[in-house]
Amino acid sequence: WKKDEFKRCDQTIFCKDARNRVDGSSNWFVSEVNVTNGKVRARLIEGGEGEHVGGSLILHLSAYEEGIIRLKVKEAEAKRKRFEVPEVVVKGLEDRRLWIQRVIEKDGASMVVLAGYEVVLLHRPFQLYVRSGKETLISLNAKGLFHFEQQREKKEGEDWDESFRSHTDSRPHGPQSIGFDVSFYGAEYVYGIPERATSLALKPTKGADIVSEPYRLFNSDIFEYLHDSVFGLYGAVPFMLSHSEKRTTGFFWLNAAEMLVDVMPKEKTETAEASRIDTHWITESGSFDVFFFIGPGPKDLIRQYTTVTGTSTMPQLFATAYHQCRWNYKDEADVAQVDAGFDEHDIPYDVLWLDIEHTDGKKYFTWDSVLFPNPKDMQDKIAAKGRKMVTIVDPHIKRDSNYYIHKEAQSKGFYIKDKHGRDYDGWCWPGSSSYLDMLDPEVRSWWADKFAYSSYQGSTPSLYIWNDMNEPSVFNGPEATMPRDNIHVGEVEHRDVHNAYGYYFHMASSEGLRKRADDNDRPFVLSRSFFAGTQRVGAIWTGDNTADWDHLKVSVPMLLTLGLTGITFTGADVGGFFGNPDPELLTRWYQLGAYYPFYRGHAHLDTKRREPWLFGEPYTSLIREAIHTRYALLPYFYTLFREANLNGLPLMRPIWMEYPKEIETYAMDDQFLLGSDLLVHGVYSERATSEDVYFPGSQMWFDVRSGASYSGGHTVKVPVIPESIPAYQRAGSIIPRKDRFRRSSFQMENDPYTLVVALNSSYEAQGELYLDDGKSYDFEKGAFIHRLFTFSKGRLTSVNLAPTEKGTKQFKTPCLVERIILLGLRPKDLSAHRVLIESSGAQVPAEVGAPLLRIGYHQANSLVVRMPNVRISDDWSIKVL
Amino acid sequence: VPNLRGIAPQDERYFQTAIIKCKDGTKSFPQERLNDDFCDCVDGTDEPGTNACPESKFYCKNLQHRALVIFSSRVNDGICDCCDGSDEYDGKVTCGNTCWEAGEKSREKLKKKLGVFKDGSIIRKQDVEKSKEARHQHDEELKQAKREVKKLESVVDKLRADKEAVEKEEKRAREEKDRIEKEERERRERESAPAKEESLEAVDVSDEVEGHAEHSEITKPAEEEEEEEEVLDSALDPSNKEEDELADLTEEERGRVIASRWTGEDISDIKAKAEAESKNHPDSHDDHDDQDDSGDEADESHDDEEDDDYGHPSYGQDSLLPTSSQSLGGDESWWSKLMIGPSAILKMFGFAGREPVDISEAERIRKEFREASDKLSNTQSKVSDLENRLKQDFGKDGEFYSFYDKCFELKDKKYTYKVCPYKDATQVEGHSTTRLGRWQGFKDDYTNMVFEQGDKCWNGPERSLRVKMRCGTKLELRSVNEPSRCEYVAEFSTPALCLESRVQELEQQLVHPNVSPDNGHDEL
Repeated sequence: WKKDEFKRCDQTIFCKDARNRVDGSSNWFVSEVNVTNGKVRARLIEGGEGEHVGGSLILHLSAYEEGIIRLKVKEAEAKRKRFEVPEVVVKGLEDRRLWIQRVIEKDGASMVVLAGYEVVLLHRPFQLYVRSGKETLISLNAKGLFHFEQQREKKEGEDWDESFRSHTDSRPHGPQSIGFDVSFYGAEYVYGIPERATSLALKPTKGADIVSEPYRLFNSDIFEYLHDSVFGLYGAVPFMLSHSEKRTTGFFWLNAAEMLVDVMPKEKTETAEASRIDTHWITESGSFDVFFFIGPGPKDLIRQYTTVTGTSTMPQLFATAYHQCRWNYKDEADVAQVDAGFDEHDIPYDVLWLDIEHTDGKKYFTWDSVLFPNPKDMQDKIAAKGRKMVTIVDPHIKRDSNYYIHKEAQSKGFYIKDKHGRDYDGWCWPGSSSYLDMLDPEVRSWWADKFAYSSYQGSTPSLYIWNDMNEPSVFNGPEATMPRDNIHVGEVEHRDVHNAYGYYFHMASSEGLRKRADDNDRPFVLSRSFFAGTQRVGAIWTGDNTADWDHLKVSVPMLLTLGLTGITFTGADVGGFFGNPDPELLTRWYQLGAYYPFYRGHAHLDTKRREPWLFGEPYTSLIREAIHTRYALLPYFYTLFREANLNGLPLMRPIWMEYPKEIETYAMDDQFLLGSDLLVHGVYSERATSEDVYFPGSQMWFDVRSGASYSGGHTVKVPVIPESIPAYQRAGSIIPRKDRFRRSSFQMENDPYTLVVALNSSYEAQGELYLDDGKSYDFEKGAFIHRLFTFSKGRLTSVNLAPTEKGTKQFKTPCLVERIILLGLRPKDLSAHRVLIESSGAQVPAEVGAPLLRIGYHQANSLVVRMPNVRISDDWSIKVL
Repeated sequence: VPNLRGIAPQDERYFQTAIIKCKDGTKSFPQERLNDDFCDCVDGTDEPGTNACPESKFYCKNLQHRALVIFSSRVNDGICDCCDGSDEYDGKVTCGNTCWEAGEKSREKLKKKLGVFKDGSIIRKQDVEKSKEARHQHDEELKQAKREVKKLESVVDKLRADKEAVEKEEKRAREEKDRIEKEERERRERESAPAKEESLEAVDVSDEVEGHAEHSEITKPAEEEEEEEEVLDSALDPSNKEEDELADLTEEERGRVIASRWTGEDISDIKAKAEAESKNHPDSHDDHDDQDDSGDEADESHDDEEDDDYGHPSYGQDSLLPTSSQSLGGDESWWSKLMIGPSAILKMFGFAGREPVDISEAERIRKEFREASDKLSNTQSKVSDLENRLKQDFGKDGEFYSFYDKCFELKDKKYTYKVCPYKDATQVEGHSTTRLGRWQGFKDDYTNMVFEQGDKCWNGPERSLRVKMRCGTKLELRSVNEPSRCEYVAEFSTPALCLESRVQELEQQLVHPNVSPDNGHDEL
């Protein structure tokens, strides 16, 4: 990691100044409070007692359903309109705006009373508090760090240039930074503001005895990033959550410029009743447009945040299965060989990926004619087995006058301009490159058309896309990206757009895949860079990690953080991108990765081959088993993806999201929940023989392999075996599985289900299954199945959860339930007998067995109902006991 | 009647009983549960004909071709795996029976293969015979060379004694001369006037010089310390150094340098330029010099090694190399001179008392000694070459004996690959040669040649090459690939792999195609 190539806070004027600012230095007061158009409008004036020394700002306060407050502050007379980040806030948000009728003026404050909470605007000094009854939840400028650099004329002899290493930023519009403090009351910890490799609970960066850079949000292509650093990586979501036993609150700043956030150590408030965490937010430029979310629970909070920025798009089924990638599968023969290797070793996979070397000279949408002379045939051969391929398409466009993309982009003026107004020319994989102005909707639309089958020569319907380097990465640019004084459409400076650039590129590519299939095939585009809203577009991965145990371990907090900030379809490169994992590390990574929402093995060009069968036994079998675990759980994953699609909830959840009152879990990030029903703990060290697993809640947890049970509320040193990492099913849950092994998810389509019923202490359990065609958007028109399974009083029933009114489309499946496994029965109920399918009157046997069909697992601790063969889509009830 | 789908004929009897045991012995199941599409045995015993059990295998008879055992995950998955189509029976796809065609094809292939093996095995036999002869001849040569060494050793011993005697005499003469000169000098000194003051002055001057020296001794370490600190700084923070380098580069060059971190592209040209341009920065310059030096060293040592390995002797040695057994006795006069002995030589040159030594004669003795020693060492190296050759592993029948001094080449698009068994393998591009590995030996029952510890890759491992050998009538390097960065794999055909026993096996296969059902990967 080349630390010196990236700026420290004290190397930029705005950050250095902001960080040196003392508490209470802010000197703004509120006047002219009124209500217009259902919003509170007020003027902010800078100055001392009464006199007006600085400019003035206009404040707008609005509120939305379900506990969302929005505050915008603008310059009253702006020299130049500040950039407002488009395409992030969902279109329908305005429909959810509450009409504020009036403000109550009282004791030098204005108060807006909303359902269950109120917003208090203190006039002198300007401060904002969100309160619920007597409890303060969250505040802005309570510490007095609010600072708003209003745009101004350059003074005589003043120099706005700012240099870093060999680059100079001309800063033509001068200083325009914004900073302020936000306090989270009662909070034990704060979370969020990805992306960085560090703990889930954010450690303080500023305070007595703390020497640290602030958390940085500035999308960067960091070479060989460290496993524990405050430094920002490829993507940014300026959203922070706080959590305590009583409350989860959140704060989101819609701003895509370089942002820095300091977290102060937890402090006692004056009321001494609750603790408080202060944070300091700083950006270089852009708008003041912030949202406060009031919870109260973690899931409420996620719903509130995703009400603003959107929920996850529904992936295709294949995308949720295993992906095999490498930089690079060299040629068509190599592709065929790897594909055959999976079949030969009976290891399923769904997608084979091609990195940059597949192109003709790093010109995307082209193929190397020697290595890939027949790309369509190649894809068709893969597709004949129901598998897909992915090619990489990056945003840097080779400046080659024979390259059609370049020619068109150049002639249409679609490139980002440098400060002199010329097409910006930077250096990336192809050499001299220009970068499309993805802020421009016209450019995005043009780009989307490039994915049409007729345009992308050699592409087929089974080909999907990978966007890399979209921070954007510019090898010879300042901080490995493009100069901040580059110009986008509408004279917007790159400094304002920077963190959202990758998102717009990702969006345009995804739109392209949607367009090429006439809206009939859900796009799959993986991106490295991201911003708030990326969840609506596609998947992201944690970039160029390293093949070591620390990176394996930090992948969990990284993905948990992304999930908390709305981005749910995420994964880390299995095996680690840089370096050669030893087979044990690789195996543990496959075992953990099986529970990542996005599951892909990937490796750097310089590394040894590491396809799953290359390490001999026992590793081939162990990795096969890990991948099979994933495939068996695909119905559960897909159901969770639907939940994310509907409610924004992440698949990978910190324990406290499901057990918000269990304080000991607040900083826990070596284990997590997949959905609410699976507890997973990675194995992060060599030759581990045990792991300390915390079992939350008061119910039992069942080992998914052995069926062994552990009671909740304890930490247990559980033995660790080579075959799996610790994973447990929650008592009271029902998980749908597909236990048959196939080549890929495609062949599993009509395979029967296994329902794993883990009974709680009242011998009850509940679970859901969502399924649709796994491909199209017909599910939006009602073509899906959503079942609720309930076990109660010895009877398992399946009822419909989908809306009763028929949509315009329907989805049908012949799938049956072949097996029901009951865990947690009383010993007296654990005996072979016959069960009654009440819906048909048929009887089938129930036998004592093990929860998993694997050699070596012969526990007799569960009851297995043999071939009930009821349809998964039907209502039915089975009397088991 | 039991449902015997997916069961090999020889296993059918196992499933005839009313209660059938799972093969792993864990439990048993009634016959009606055989192939009932529900997995009762974790080892898959009860579901050979369905995809219900993760561990089971499906047997397709493939009449007119070869029986095949497939993973049960392939049963009814919409893909025709068995040429008789028996793995797809749920009606979703229709698989035609292609066994006859497939069988024909495979038989053709097998016949061809058999032909190659037959021809190859004949060549192999001949090669093995030739190897035996060559080996015998080399054995003989070795014996002879060893005898010659013995002989030469005594010759050299004699010459050494002569040389030493002459040199002793020379030394004595030189000492005598020195003694006389010294006496002469002392005599002259006694005669000249006393010069005490001068010598005192000289002492003063030397004091002053010492003073200077002391002074500079004080300042110098301080300078050194400073330098050391700078070196330390840059050592602690390597990026500083790189920044200095990058600063002088063009935009493009900087881009390439950064890109090379990922790609390992050769950017030595840019680095060189950066170095050249940063000559003004003395501190970084020093570092570069160090790097250069080490680089040169590496190059030199590399060259040396090459010489060793290839045994390219220099011209001087070449002329003396006893390439044949005749060369020794040829030069009679030289030979007879050697036989004279030291005392005779002393006499011959007339060394006695204070007579000046005849320098040219002494040189001649030294030259002859040198020549004889060279000859000895060359013969010794021949011995060690032969010994080294003969101790190698040449396979079970010595079938690889002829590989010892052969190299095999393949021209690719860009590179020429050169594989020299028992030595090394290289990749040549223009004038640059990259070593892919040094000979490590055979692996996997003499089917692979392994070369390791080649040149180190940028940011990667040492290069290595595995040569997969198969039966062929010609010695031919067929292909070279690099499946992982710097790990090369070559395919190589040779009669050495055309074993008689395999010919019989292949003949058997041709007659009874169904004998080895597991042999799906036989045809390489």
